[in-house]
Amino acid sequence: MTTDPRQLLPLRPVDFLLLLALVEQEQHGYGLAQAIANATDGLVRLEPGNLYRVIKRLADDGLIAESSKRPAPELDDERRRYYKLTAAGAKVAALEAQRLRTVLASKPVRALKPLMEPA
Amino acid sequence: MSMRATFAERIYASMMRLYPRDFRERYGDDMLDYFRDRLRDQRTRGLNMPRFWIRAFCDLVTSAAHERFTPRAAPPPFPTPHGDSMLQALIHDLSFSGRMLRKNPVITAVAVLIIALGTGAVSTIFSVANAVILRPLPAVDRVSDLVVVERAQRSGTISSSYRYYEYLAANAKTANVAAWSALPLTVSLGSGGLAPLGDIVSANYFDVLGVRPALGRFFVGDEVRVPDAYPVVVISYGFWQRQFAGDSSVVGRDLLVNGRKFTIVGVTPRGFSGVYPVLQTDVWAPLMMLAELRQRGRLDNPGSAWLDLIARKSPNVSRDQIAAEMTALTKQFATSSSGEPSDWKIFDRARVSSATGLPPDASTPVAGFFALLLAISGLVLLIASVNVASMLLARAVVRRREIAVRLALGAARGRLIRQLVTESVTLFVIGGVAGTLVAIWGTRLLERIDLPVELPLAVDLAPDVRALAFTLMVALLTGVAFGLAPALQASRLDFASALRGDTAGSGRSRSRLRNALIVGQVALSLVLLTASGLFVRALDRGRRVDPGFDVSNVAVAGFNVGTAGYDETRGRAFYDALVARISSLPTVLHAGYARLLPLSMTNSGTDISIDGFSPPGKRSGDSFTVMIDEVDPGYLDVTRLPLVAGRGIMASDNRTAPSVAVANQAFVKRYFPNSDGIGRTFKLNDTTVTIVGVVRDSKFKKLDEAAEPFLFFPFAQHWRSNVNLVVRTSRDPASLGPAIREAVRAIDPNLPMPAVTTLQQATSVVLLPQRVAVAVTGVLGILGLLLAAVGIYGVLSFSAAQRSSEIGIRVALGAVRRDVLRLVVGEGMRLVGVGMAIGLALALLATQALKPFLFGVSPFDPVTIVAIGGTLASVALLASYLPARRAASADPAISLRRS
Repeated sequence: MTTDPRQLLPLRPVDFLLLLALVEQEQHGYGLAQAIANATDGLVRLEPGNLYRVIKRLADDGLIAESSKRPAPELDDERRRYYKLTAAGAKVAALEAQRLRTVLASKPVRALKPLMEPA
Repeated sequence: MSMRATFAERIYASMMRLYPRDFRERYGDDMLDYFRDRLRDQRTRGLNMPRFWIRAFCDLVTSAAHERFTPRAAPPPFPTPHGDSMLQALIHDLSFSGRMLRKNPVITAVAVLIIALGTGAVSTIFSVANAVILRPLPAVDRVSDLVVVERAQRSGTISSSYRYYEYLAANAKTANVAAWSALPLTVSLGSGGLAPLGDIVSANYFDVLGVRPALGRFFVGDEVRVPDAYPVVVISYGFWQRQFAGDSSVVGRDLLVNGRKFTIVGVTPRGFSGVYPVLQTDVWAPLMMLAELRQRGRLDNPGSAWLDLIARKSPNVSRDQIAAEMTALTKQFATSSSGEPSDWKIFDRARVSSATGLPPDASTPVAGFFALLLAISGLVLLIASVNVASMLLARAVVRRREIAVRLALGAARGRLIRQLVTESVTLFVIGGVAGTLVAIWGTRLLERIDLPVELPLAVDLAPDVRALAFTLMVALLTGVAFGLAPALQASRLDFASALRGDTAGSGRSRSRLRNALIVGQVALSLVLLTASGLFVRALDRGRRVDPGFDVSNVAVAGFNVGTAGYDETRGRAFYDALVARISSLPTVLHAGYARLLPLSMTNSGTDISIDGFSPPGKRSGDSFTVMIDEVDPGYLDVTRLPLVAGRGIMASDNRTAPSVAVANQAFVKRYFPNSDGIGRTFKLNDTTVTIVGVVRDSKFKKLDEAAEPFLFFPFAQHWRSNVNLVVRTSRDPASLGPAIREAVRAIDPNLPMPAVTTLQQATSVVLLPQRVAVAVTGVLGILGLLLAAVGIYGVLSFSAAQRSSEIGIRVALGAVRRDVLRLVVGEGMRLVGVGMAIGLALALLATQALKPFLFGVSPFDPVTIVAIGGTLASVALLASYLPARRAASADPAISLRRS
């Protein structure tokens, strides 16, 4: 079995977004979809089918796992399954972030013309 | 609002069926939650509903398609911390199965026993078939690259002459052709004579077969080039172990073969027994030594066809290419002036077939016979499996509560079925392993059967890895096939009644399946028993056929003094001395010789011509073939073949007297109609032969043959070095063995001791297929009947127990014992009746395949059908009576309270 997380790089954007959404707190499916939508200004909206396909893939790869912990009872909906980042998932996300930082620091990126902020 | 939401959810939920099941089971509920949340948000925000649905639909379809059709490229890089992988599920199922099987030790033991008998039957037959036709030639390299080459015409083949072989070997490019011929030998060691089978082989024989010597070397240099100069032999590993105790100094030692000194140069590897490994071959000699080993044997005789050819394919050559080249070469050879008999010109093509370890002509019928036996044993396995399936079904009914609880607690039906099937497969595999033990025992039993065959057989019947794999495969498949139906039934439950613990009403479809299983068992065992009954009838009929001569009280011993280096003068002196000694024994009535024994699969024909007689399709006076034998004056007395006219062969019919023959009635009737045949003549190789006597017609080849023309020639006028001594005695003929051997030893201690049997045994070879079939189908038929009886008993006991409250009520309402008996037995016999009707129809179809083995006993033989039907019906009646009696004697108060 492979254990070098580097082999999974580069991550698909959607995978990376999902891992990032789990860095600060454990989430259930709909929460994840909303977090991703928020993080991308609505650019990435995951419908249930695709969301759970990504979840399944990441869970099968061992990057995320179902969580047994629950948030505060008043926030919790008992039926839902929550997901958390595994150690491997955190490591892979960190490596991807590192990789992207290197990309951003590269000369061609710096040479790109800055864009005007959209009004 | 909430109604509409539920409706939308239901639509979404039904669309989720697009996903693979495991995905749905894992995430379905969560997806539905998500969907519900989205829907709520959409509604509160008042967004575009059609667009929402389209998006949801597209999402479902695309992701479901991905999930279904995108294969996972690599195994997951990090192990899944939780979750139910296939392997874990399997381990779990297996351990649970183990617990369930241990929990019901009696049922488990009975089921394993039943499966063991079924798989054991199949495995035993398969092991024998495997040993005879499937096992590759032992110690031979890459058997798949070997082919047997035969010289052929449109129909039929002939053996190859040495010249033909030389021509092929010298010119063939697609294959390396080797030649060999089996040769009975006499080998003298210090202690006495042996009669092993030998092969006389071409220079490249061992090369073509890819065999390496276990010790010493094979034939080299001038040994394979110069005729009659280098008397060398190679011996088999077994011969080396038996006769020389594996002494490694055996190479270089001398051995008397057919009276001449030969030097051992090598030992073949263990297991190697030539091209036909069912024959035990012990000695190999180079072709160049032919003249020394076979009297009048000449390599360059173009009219002597006696070699078998085997060839190894050249690389990248197909069998068709070999066949094309061999046929082309054969055409050239046939048209060249090779000096061979002109009527061989029609053998102008070559037939190329795979090396199966059996002669090409024999492998198809042998395979057919084994296929038949395998099918019969398959029936037993089928009955056993059906039996176990109905046991599993019965147990599944008892386990309804457990299954209902598990389903109610959320077990997926698929998972449950998998569990139940794992249980039955475990059962079948344990049974299969036990079945292999049955097969080991069964094949040992079969190896003890003495076959009335003169050649030394060397068949190791014990199951090998292939037979073991076959048995386990069969067990696995039957386990799945026969575990599935009960499992499907069991998991389809009516929750409410099952959870209430109401085990009484076991459901109509369930009992229908159980009834079908009973019907199936009865039908199959009827087929099996009919087959065995027909074989018994055929064997009986075969035994009662009058062969025309008296086989009782005759001892038989085969001799071949030619292989011991005797010429005609010495040979005659030996045979005369022997018959004189034997005749003087007090219990001997008559003694004589015959070259061939009737009904023993040995036949000989010769060409004769009769003035004024036109053989079919030929001109008057042309030659035609009749069956013949050479006998001495004592033979007719020994076999009590009665003369109907003239005289028998007499001592005065010697080499100086005129040539004579004794004909049978059919000969006279066909060739000299309207005469008694005495004094009539025919031509044999330009000699005029006079018929001096006529004997009654008798059987020669087969028991069901019509009378064929036959001629007996005097042994004294036609020297044969190999003959059978026949002795009529007033006592048990087998007891003459020591006396015969003693007489041989007294005349020449170097001769091999003959095996002494009886004429009864020697002629029983014609009934061999029937005898084997009776033994096999008899054992299997009884097994099948017992299994079916157990099955009927088990199912009826179970169903009577299930119906105990119903029976209790009936009794409480005034039914008497007889009514209860009638109820339960009636239920059983109804099923048995249906089963027998179906079985009868199947049997009438299936037994058509047995026709060639039945000596004219009709597959519709009423005696067999009535006897078998009666037996089966009585066994079934007994099997249903026992549970009925128990049900009838139960106290209604108790059975009602219990329910």
